[in-house]
Amino acid sequence: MISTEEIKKLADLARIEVGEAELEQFRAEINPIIDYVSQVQEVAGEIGQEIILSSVFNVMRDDLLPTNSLKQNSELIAEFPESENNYLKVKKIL
Amino acid sequence: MDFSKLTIKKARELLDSKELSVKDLVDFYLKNLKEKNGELNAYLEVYDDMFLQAEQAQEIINAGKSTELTGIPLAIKDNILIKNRKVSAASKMLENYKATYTATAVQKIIDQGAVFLGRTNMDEFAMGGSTENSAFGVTKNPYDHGRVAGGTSGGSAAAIAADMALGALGSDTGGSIRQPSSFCGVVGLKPTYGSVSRYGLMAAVSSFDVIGPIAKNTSDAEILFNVMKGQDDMDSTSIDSEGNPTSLKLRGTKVGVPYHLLEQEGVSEEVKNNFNESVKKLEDLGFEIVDVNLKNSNFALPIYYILNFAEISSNMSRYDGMRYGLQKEGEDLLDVYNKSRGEGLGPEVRRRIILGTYVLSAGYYDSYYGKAMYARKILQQEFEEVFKNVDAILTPTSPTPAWKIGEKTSPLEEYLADIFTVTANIVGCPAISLPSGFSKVDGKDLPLGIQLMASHGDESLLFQIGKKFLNEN
Repeated sequence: MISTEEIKKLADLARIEVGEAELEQFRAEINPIIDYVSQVQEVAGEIGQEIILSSVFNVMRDDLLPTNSLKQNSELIAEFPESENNYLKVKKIL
Repeated sequence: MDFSKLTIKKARELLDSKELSVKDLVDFYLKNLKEKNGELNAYLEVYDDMFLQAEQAQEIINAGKSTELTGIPLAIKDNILIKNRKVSAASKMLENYKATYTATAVQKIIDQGAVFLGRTNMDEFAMGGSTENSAFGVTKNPYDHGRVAGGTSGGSAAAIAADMALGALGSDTGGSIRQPSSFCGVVGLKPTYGSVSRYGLMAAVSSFDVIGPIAKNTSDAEILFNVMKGQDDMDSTSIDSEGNPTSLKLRGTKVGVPYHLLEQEGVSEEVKNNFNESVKKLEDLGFEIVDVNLKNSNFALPIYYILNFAEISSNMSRYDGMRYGLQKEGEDLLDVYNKSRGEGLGPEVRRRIILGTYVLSAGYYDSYYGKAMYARKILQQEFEEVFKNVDAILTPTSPTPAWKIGEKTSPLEEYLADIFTVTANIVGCPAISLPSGFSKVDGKDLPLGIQLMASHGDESLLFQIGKKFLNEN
């Protein structure tokens, strides 16, 4: 069973603001879901890392410069909520 | 001319013989859009340049250079990108976002001169099963306006059913093309994982997602699939899927039926009856029906949802209010993140992100995510074994016909309706939903669908069976 404090902690980790009333509602909805998916633990066998990792591998692209980078950049920058001199502008971090 | 009887194939003939102009076609769909979309809410945006697109298509036809999709009016789901067009995944987070590139699968269609009419409604960020989770209102089922069109590609399926487009693109993560297709009485294909590039499809569950066609019949779905498919350097998980050359004999094609799955809780009587009729129909058409046992199927939903939550929580982290999308004012950077995501993302999205964070967190990772990954492999192996004995597997698409808007009161209730569709995404195999009849509920005829799965790359078998089942010439 997961508590509202744990849900708040998870929401904080995920950088999502959840109001008090909604926290309780989420708790009521999330607990049955966790119960339900926990069934997966009944699948027979040990967790073998080799099984999971052996069929998956990374595919790399060639280390080349993108074409038209100036044009592409200006299109992407146009979507920034705030920019200055082609830099993304954000709130002070330090 | 009765435009409502048109298919992509038929329209191609009429356009090329000049009996029909592209403008005539677009006029027809625009008229239906204007009449019906206010009520159905299938489209979130109708593009204002459709007649310009139509002119360009007409020029190609006049020059004798038309290809399969030239001048064909299509709808596109709101999570697939076309450069410079708005695309929002039916979310407040991206309400005013404009795509900065075009999806490869869509570029192939644009290169043929198809006409995109607009973008269709969906469950927000492809999370849901009814389009009730859209931030911009539900899409109503054209067969009964009090019921859902299904999801997450509800808008696209409703558009085809209500003659608001001749073909549509959707995406399928756990049934999101197939289920709304069955609720709306149309054909929907989930292609083999990787056979259609995901470049330009907003990622929900990267190891499940596929773009696929929704259309009036199997031939049309096949045309759309063949245009979109192909390996793409921009998507490292894409493959060229020329398929297993299925021997074209129909006599002797074995269709496996997991009868035990029909006895599960939640499968309605109407669905069972219609399913048995469909099995009989396939037998009469010459297919051999074989009882199969899919013994790990009861784990499919738990596997599916753990992986869904985990991958979604990772994919949603890009929506942080920084480089694009909604940004809310805050006291500091952390506050900007919390508020932008808190207000921009709807409840189902936030619930799944929280669940994903949980199953991936220290102490729980192995028992949830680790176990689900292992179980996924087990299920994949089971399907490989089954496909040694049968060519296709048949189930209903959905355990019930479309439910009433607002009827499902908990998220878990909605998840349980995915029992037949999630397996194809877990395993990666292709699956098609075919309209199989109607059930009378509250005095209305509600569409039902059957689902066929085949082994990786074997879409051509699904098309063959579909054309026979639907008596297409």
